[in-house]
Amino acid sequence: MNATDCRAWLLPIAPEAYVAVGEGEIAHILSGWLSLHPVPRSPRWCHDVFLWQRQVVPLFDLGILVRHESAVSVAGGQVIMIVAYAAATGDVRFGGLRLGGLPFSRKVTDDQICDYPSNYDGWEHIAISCFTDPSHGPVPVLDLARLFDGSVAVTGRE
Amino acid sequence: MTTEYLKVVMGRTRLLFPAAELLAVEPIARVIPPPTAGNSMAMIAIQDATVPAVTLDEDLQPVPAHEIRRRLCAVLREDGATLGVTCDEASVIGGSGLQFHVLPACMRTEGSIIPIVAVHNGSLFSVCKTADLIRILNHPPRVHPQSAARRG
Repeated sequence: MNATDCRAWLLPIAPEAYVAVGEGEIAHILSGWLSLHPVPRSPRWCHDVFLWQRQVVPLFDLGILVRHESAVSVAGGQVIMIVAYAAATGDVRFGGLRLGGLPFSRKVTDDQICDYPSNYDGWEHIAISCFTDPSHGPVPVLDLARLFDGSVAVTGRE
Repeated sequence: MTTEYLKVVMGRTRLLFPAAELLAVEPIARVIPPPTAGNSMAMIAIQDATVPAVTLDEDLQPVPAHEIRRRLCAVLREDGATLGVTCDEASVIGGSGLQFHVLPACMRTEGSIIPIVAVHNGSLFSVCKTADLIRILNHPPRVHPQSAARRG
């Protein structure tokens, strides 16, 4: 995201909790039934993978990591957003984010920068900045490469 | 290079082991429960032998031996150690149609033993090695965030 004046997608990850990604980072939105493959002994917040366009995509549930919420039922009503990011090797990778509702777009400017919300003490390890949304308060902007490919989530910081 | 894999299905959990680690797949004739209540390792009679065996839940955590309900046992062997794993289904598949994908770092924990998943006929399988399964059963991580949080 360009920090001076840009558009961001706000993603509801739990009741009253939002994160954001850059306008060009959304690859696809899936809703309804999806066949998930649980990976034994993986973290609760990233426990499943699924197939999308012949690729294996990990499904991250930030609501569990940040708010310690129970896993959302696979049965229905879920929205899964597929995001694209550049790995350290330079290739484009895809990750899935489980959402509590549809994402929506916002214009963001420099004067909205603020501190990370206090609901999770690991934001600086998975986000690159934070801005204040007039309706939803502080919204961390995800660093997708660190979220999916970093080791910080291994500890969970619970 | 391994050319065949053992497909093991336990509920929703689908695993692949290198077929070279497979000793036998046998119906369970009889379960000899351990002397200590709550112990997860039982002896299982298959044909003319008995082998130590465990029943694992969908997160590969051992369940008490008295809860064994499955009727099949995949007997695995690696480095001289033998372990039976009860299952719902087990069969050997060829490796030529498999596509392997390394899991990202966000899916690993201290107790991870699944570094790779494989696609076979449109279905996903977690790729596992017998030695890693035996190691994690013998030496479970002191804190397993997955199980601790689930049971908490």
